[in-house]
Formats: sequence, structure tokens, C-alpha cells
Amino acid sequence: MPTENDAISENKIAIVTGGSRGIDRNTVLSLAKRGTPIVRYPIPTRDDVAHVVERDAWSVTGCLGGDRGTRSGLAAKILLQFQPLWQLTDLSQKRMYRTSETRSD
Amino acid sequence: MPGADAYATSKQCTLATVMVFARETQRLHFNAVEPGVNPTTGLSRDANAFVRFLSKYIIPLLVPLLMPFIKVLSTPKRAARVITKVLIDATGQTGVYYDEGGHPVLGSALVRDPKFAERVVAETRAFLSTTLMYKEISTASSPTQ
Repeated sequence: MPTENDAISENKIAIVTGGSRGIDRNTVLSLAKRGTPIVRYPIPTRDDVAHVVERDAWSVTGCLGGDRGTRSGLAAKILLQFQPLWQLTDLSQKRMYRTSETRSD
Repeated sequence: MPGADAYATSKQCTLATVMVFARETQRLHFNAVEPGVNPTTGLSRDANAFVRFLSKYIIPLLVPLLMPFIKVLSTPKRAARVITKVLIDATGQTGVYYDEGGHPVLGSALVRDPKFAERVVAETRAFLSTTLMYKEISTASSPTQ
């Protein structure tokens, strides 16, 4: 019997922007709780995004509410705020590295 | 609320863009979620001091009580559950607009008009093409570079 977690492929990544607060922050936490292989926040580099899009069919969900939009320099600030989350989601981190290794084939 | 028209227009254009992208690039999945009214996410940050006070300290206390009666009211946690459900959906749905309960809904008549949606995307692309960031991305992603 497939479970909800099975719906997330080992090869899929969730890139969540704006995850420092509100709905997006809760989305990051919700994905992490479900064992999403990677919760990456914010988008690290343009190359990383291109890599994901080239290699995987993945979902992009536009959230229509309450976002101020991207601001220059904001991403770096939020990344620092999310360092503790990275450490807490140890499982996600381990999977991230494993997935990175398997992607190099 | 100040800027309400611009806010609503921007959301309609976002939704139109999602629909166009879903049609254009079927290899990827583009969906949209209407997260409901989340009073605690700073929607009234540009309103006057009284409304900001209500939004910050009073309304959050009332939201859980009012949610059963006011369908569009939501919380970030509930909205995140809907978004997560859409993200992990394995059925490959694309170009779907979900309401605050995670049910597929139709956008406005304007958003559903392909001509309008394509115009939004075309004009946005034309505008972005004048910006430095767009030129950098185009250069970086060009296979001939």
C-alpha cells in the first residue's frame, strides 16, 4: 500500500522560497516532517536550480497569498535564520547528501 | 486597504502566469494555491495603526473561533498543509488552482481567458527582457555560451 511519503521520489527536491515566516515557513516544516528528501532554502544558486529542472520532473506550486516578493540581500539573511532548521532536519540533510551522490551518475 | 487593487491584480496575474506555464511546459507541473485569508501574515502591514493593532493582537485570537463559520479564513499551518499536499501529489496534475481547503476551483473569468493570460506572460517577458538579471540568466542558460 503506497503511503503519502512514497509520493515524494527520492530524486525530488522541494525548493521553498520565503520560508522565514508565515505560510512558507510552515510549508518548510511540513515538508521536513514528511521526510522530503531535501528542503532547500533559499534557492542556492542558479546552477542548482537548472540542475534540478534538467534532471527531474518536479512540481512548482505558486502560492498566491501574502508574500512581499524577493528582495535583494534578503535571501542571505533568511538562509542564516534557517541554519538551525537545517541542523534539526538531520534526516533531510543526510538524504540530501546521499541524493547528491547518486545524482552524479 | 491601501493597495488592495494592486494586490488583487498581482494575484490574478500570478494565477494567469501559472496557467500559461502549465500549458507551455508540460514536463513540469505548475499549480496554484489560494491559501485563504491569513490575518497573521502581515496582510494589513500598510494599513493604519489601529487596523495593524487589531490584525496583530486581536484577530489572531479570533481566527480559530471564526474559522468554522468563515470559510476563507485560514492559518499559515493549515495553508501549508494544503501546499504540501499539492506538492507531494503524485498524479501529475498541472494547471490546477486549489482553494484554501485543497479543492480544485476555477479562477476568475479573466484568468481563464487564454488571451488575457498569454498577454500577461508576454508583457511580463517583454518587461523582464529589459532588466539586467534577465539578460544574465539568458546568457548563462544559452547552450552556445
